[in-house]
Amino acid sequence: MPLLDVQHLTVTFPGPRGPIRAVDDLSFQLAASETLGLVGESGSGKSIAALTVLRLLPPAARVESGGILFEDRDVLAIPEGEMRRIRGARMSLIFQEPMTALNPVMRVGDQIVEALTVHGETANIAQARAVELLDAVRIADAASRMRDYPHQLSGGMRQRVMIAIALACRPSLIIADEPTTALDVTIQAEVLALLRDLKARFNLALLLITHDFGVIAEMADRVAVMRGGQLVEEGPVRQILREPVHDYTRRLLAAVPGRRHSASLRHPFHADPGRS
Amino acid sequence: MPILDVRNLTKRFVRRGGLFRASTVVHAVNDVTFAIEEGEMFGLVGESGSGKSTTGRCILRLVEPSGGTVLFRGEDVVPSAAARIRALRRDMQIIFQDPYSSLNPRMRVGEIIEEPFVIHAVGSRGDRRARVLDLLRLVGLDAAHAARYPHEFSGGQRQRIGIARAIALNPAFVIADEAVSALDVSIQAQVVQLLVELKERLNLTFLFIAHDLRLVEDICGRVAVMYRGRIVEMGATASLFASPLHPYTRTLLSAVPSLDPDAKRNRLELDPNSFDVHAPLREVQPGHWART
Repeated sequence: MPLLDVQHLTVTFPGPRGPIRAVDDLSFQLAASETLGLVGESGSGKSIAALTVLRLLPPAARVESGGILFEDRDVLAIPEGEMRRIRGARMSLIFQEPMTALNPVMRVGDQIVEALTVHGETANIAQARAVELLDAVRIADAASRMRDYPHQLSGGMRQRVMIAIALACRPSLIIADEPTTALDVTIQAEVLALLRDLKARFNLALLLITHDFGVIAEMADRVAVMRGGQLVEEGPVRQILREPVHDYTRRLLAAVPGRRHSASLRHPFHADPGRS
Repeated sequence: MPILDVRNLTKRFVRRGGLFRASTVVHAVNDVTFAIEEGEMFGLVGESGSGKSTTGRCILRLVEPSGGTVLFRGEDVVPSAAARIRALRRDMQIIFQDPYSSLNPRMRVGEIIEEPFVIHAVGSRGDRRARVLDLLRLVGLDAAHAARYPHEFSGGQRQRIGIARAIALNPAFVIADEAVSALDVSIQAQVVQLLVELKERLNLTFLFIAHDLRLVEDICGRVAVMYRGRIVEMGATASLFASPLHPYTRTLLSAVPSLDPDAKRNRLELDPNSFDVHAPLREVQPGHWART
């Protein structure tokens, strides 16, 4: 039984000439402690699919058909009050820009404590847990960092704080939407290593949404490629990266810059650097 | 003679102090020296805050340098008067990262591309219109696009419009400042391909500023790596990627994700004590420079 089972999901937005299908008959499964990479370009529907799982769709969006089972419950039928408890406690979200997720006028420690007390932890225990969590995301000198405001932290540290908040209630599923896209490559490497580590330590399943096949290669067990709301191809990471079947997947892979991996790829992107 | 010869370029910003804090001087660009030969695609890489963009802006005098010289075809642009700089900008152009904010939303695309001709009073109205259509075709758009507004275009198309405007006056030297960073990977590959083609066709010289080392590896013949305002290493792209000499370059390269899921992750952490930031940039191997 998968942890998350998405079946024939279709989500539409109103458009000038009738509804637009942002997600179109999408099905995928995610097992406990597995990482599924959801890849696609802007507008492919990958983020909308994730927001549907979290029940955080904007009001204009409509789930036309399909179903989502998470921990054997029908997500689309859960009452909103209960869904609020499930979000954060059982499934949580990390996204690209931590500055928009963190409250700028609240100390980061208090924000983690809040995440814990909202879900029923007592204040004292929450305080101690918050320090542990900052420590777990490898923020040095965690106890004194609790008192910092988000603007006092670097981009990489803010991303770690957001990860700490996402982890606070020990969810079984983390949905990470372009978690490292805004980061420098050395910081990206650190955050990805941290995510791998935490995943193993806390037995997390990870739904990783990205447009970067490099991040996929580093993180994912399986990959689902989306285009125009539909699933184009899905399979184990090695198969998708080495022997993609669908033409669109091949073209996406061919567009990834960099030459050192061209040996393992059949369709490297050829610009002629010879005379530059 | 190199087309661009940058020597000891420095840009200091003064961070004003507050009631309890002294003013501090930030060296955004610190003693940067490099030269670009005509026809080169020269890469300048670094992470945020490394000074790579400020270096580009100082070269075009969009930011006033604090010191050093910038020789463009032998002429120092640093002390040049504003009128001379305006004239030089016919030959030196820049393409920015964000096509959304660098195109005037109230102007039609034809007017946007025509604007440089108007500013520099080049050609008759009819000439200019014809040239705009040529430029649109040259960057892979079509004549009908001239009558439309920027918001009607995708990100990749907007970047093509930005490129058309940058090359309108037949510049010799173009700075691409993270010009494809905001684009989806498939669009990015197409726009990069276009830049490479235009370089050959129009005999352009490029300073390609980017944080994505993989892109630079694909298209640049030589590359300089910046770290905290300084160039720490510079050389032929192939040799720098194959055998990086500076600890920072090694760390940076080790952080680039590979497309091979079985690749050994040999991630290096930067030990700031492992090198001397004040070490001079010296030629360790022919054409390969490092601060070691």
